[in-house]
Amino acid sequence: MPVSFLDTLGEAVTRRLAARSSRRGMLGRMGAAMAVAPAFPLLPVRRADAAPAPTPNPAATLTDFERRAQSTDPTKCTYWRHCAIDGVLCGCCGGGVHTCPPGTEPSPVSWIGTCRNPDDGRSYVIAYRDCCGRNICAAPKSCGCNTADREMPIYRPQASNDIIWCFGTASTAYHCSTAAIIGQAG
Amino acid sequence: MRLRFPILFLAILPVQGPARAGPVASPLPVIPAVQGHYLMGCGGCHGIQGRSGREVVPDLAGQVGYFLCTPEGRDYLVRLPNVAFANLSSADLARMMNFVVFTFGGASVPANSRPYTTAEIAALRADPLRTADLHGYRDQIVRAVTRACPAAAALHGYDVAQAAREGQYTGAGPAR
Repeated sequence: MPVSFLDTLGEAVTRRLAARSSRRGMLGRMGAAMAVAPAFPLLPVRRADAAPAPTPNPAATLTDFERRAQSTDPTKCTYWRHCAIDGVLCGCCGGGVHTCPPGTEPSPVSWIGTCRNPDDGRSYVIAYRDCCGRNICAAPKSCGCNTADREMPIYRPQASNDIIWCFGTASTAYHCSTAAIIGQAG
Repeated sequence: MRLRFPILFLAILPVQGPARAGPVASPLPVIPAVQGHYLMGCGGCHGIQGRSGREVVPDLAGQVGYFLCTPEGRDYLVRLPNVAFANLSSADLARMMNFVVFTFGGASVPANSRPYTTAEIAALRADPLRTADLHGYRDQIVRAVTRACPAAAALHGYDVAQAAREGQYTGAGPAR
């Protein structure tokens, strides 16, 4: 029975290894690897969470919304800027997170709050501005949001999202809501 | 020979480490606390820069300082319910009012005007306006301010627009 190619190859490799390497050498390399290994980051793992927190906002003090908040899909209620939005997201209605859909105009008045961006842990000042002039946007149910981080009851109207902010527009018909960033909260 | 592998890794490490660990610097301006108080309590309607641009809400930019032309006008700004009942300490409210009046008010502030003090704010907010006819009271204040500082006449724009709206509503609804 002829010796298979794999057997020949295996034997050659094993013999070469045995001839060229010493057991002490192997032990030395393993020791060096073990000593040096902790100095390297675990490369496949995202290390952002290991960085020191930029703001003292430990997870224990986050609101329920902030724990679930995401920063990738602005057409979902969990998008971080929507931490206190009550209404239909304009992003689902032909507009964007800070633009009104065609045929509507932004209300000159709005209410202003703060939301935490999960990417950098910082708070940002957000203006919640309604888009007015058409009947309420017929968007999927998932686009209708009612979140309330740092919202106040209606007796503090400047911080209440229960109000339809379509004042001072040609039409007071409510269509959808936007959430524009004004700046980083100091 | 034996060390080539670790050295290669060490060379990569500084490049990869901080790039992954550091949060991306935000290009957005950091809003100081006093401006933040203004934005949360007033800026939604009066405008991020104090310009509401419409006659529905009085402009602050270039106008609000005129109210300091009379003692009653100066008091009026703090006795307005949303100012007097603001969710702020009197010290914070004093800082915010000084920011609004002196920064937004700009050239409308009369010369030699003194800033609001914490004690003055505390006393004024203990005496909030109680009149139901707030627009009538404002109109009265604005007339006196305009007599003292003729340049303040532009303040009447809001009162005229408001009176027109009231007229419309009264005409449409039952007589009051």
